[in-house]
Amino acid sequence: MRYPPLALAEELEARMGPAQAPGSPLSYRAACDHDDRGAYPWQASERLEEWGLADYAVPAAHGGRLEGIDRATHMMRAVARRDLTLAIGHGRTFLGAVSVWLDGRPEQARDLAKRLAAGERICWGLTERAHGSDLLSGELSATAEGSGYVLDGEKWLINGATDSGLACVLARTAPEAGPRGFGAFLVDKAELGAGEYRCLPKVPTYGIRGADISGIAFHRARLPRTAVIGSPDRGVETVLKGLQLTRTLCTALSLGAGDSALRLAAHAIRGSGRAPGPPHEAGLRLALARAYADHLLGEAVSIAAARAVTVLPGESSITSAVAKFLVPHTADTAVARLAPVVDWCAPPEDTARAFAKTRRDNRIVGLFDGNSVINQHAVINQFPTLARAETKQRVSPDAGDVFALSTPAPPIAPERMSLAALHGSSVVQALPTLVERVGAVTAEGARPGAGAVAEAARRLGRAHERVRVELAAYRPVALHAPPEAFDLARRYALCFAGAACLWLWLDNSDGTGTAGADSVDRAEALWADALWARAALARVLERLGDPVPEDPAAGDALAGAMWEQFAGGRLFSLLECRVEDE
Amino acid sequence: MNAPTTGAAAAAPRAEATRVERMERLLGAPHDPANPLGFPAIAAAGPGSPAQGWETVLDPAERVALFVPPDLGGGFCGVAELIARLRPVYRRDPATGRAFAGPALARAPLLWDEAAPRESRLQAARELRSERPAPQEPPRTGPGHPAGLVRAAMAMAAMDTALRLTLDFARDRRLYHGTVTDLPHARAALADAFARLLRADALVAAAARARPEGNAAPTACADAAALTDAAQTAVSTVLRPAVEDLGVVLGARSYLHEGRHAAFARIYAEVDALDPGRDPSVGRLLLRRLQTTDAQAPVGGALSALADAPLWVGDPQADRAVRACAGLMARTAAAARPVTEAAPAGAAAEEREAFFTELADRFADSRSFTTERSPLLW
Repeated sequence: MRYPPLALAEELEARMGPAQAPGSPLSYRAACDHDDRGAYPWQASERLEEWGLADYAVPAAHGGRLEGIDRATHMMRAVARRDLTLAIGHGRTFLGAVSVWLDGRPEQARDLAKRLAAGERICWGLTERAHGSDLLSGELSATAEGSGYVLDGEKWLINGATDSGLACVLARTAPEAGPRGFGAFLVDKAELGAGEYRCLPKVPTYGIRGADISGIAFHRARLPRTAVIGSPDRGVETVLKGLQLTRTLCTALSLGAGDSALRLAAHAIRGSGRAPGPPHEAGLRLALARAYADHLLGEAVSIAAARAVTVLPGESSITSAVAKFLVPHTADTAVARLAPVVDWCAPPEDTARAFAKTRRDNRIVGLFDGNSVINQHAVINQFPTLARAETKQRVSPDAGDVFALSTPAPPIAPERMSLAALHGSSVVQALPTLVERVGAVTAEGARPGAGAVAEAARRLGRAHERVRVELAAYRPVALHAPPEAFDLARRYALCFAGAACLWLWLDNSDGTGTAGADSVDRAEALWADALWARAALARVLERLGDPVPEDPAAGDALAGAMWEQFAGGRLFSLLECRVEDE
Repeated sequence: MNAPTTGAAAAAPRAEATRVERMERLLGAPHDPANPLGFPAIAAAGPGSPAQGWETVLDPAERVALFVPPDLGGGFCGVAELIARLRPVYRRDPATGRAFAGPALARAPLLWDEAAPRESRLQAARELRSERPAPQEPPRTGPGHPAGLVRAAMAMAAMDTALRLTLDFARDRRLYHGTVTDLPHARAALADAFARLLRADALVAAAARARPEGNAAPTACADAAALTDAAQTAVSTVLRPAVEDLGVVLGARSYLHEGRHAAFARIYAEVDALDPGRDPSVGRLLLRRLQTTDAQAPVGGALSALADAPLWVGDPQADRAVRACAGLMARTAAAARPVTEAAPAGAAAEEREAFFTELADRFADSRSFTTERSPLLW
């Protein structure tokens, strides 16, 4: 069977039609045209709304189709393949609404669900001109007055601030601020009086040029008491939990951009008059193989994280930080590696334009909604907890469900979410066991390629051991973490990535190489000889400073598998999924 | 512990080391909203387009004075001098630099080759004198050509500004009860970018000084060609990673086309055009980089060559200065690696702090971050 989220993605692909189709509003060409004009692709957006994409931002409990975030993740990837501006525009619905789903009153949630189903738009106002990710410094205030609140101040660099009728904003409710000094509020522009708000001008951006990146200024804007989401002193907590989900979801943007970049590079190569198939030049093949390996690594992390945030909700503060740090980075690396290849092929203007746009747009993913520094910081702040958890080596009994792809991920459970991962990360803590399992599988001799995976696993295990030692020795600094702490956080994240690859491989391949009746459809060429696992782990180990020797045969096989997916109209993925390209 | 710049490097052989470069004065105050070549006006230019009205300031006469040799009626007097005079343009806006200098650099192989037919050289000079020469693809000049060295030097000028903008932001931006420069990680990123810039520019300076004054013919000196090659490789290796790392410090503002730091996004957009590795004449470097796992290897090799061989003719003072710089670069190799790649934990903290101090001093004194430490407008 198809991995269920990818089955949905296939439906969506079919509805969107071929990305190369001339005249289609969902084509690369249309996306580029809008981008050049700085115009939002409304026609494309309407097509997605007609299909019912907004339903996946609304919980099933309120009439929508959102349960866990894995389905939303893979659908967002499908849209991002076409146009990141469009994907970000649609993904915004979940970002704007998540605070209500997590902490809103039942009638507030029901009401919002109805409005979103009717096509209303919402934005999420967190950042301010003088305070980016430093939420606790926010100056937009919500002062209790009379029977409601009065909002004063601005939010800036907000996606959709102008074209949304609804806004979820984080506002200071106590003059002394602090973690309990903020509330989250649902603002309806239609209910504000004249002069109580104005939208700030669109900010021209380097990429996603058609997106509405603007702001909103409030001046003594009166909100009813019912506008508050949850308790007026719990806004930061609600937003931070929401960010655990949205940061993980946003890895889909990186995967979509990566898929586009690979596909456009393949088009460039094919169109350059070479013999059919992957290029003969070693340098080009190596670049393709490396980019593809990074893409697959990012996908493995994204698949795992999108499931883990609801399978292991108590660990999501770590899971989301790791995913949001790593996946944009692997996508950035992949896209950068493909750029000289595209250049080299001197492709027709359409391909060159689309690739340049993908590259510009992709850069935003690592910058917004928590950049790499923020996410590393989030891990650093939990070093003492992680150190304790590593000594206990506890692995949740539910953790295996993350990697059991034929089992649906559970719905979001707000009451089980936590701002700190008190028991660490099961995925990372399982590494020693995973290394042993791979060793055992290798000894059995039934899985081709297991030996190479076992070697990589041993190196990963050694890197993890060094991380454990350094975590145990880490002394939190009073003020600011030193660069060495960031490097430790980076390596911790890489351990997560490596562990996710190992576990995904162990639980979804079997000795005979044939899929069982209950297992999900895989891209078989990538699972033969553990090809993808070896390639992804090699990319992890290189970043950890312990590279495995280059394997030209594996590189060739990888370039070949990538080409097969391209020629066959398949998603660049570990799993089977058709795309509509030509 | 030596400061990263010795006195000898600051006292460059040029006469006007303490005066702001003429071109800088021509470009005017960078933050003045009324200046057509100031950052605010430049930000309003479309992506990839030069500043509006740039030709009235950077007119064909300026171009002739810079690039055309005296025997053809111009004022070109060697690669080192050209680099110093042209850097202000690329520091201000590389897209404008490309529009201004691109046609000239494309004709440089002809203009600077005294052995080429005079009529062809005169034609090239005439084309540069006219209002709008036809834009040309850079010809395949072969590795080691001085035009490539000039491009590499201009890439470092653009990186100078990327670093300056990031530091400008970080000094003022308040975050977690301090400024961004108070955060050790941001401080280290700034110091590392500076170290990488100096390292690559040391090679650029060495290559420029390896050519006897006034003679830029490519066959003048085999060592000069090899150094040029090394300099282009070094620049190509550091440029994008360093600009990316600075973008992380700058955060969202690295993505905006408005505001005080909007020039950063413009520099970012020009990185491909600035990167010597994408010049067809250095295409083999590109392929080599695609195939190597250690992107630092070519630079390391070139640096050790620097340490051993005599570098150029007739300038022992400059020789000592650049050696001192190169020696420091070699010692701080660990600090100069991109922060996202595997880096040894605990890389020399005191060396990073020395780089940061030098960086902050140059910023306070409005001095360039490239080797020559020349005064500029800010």
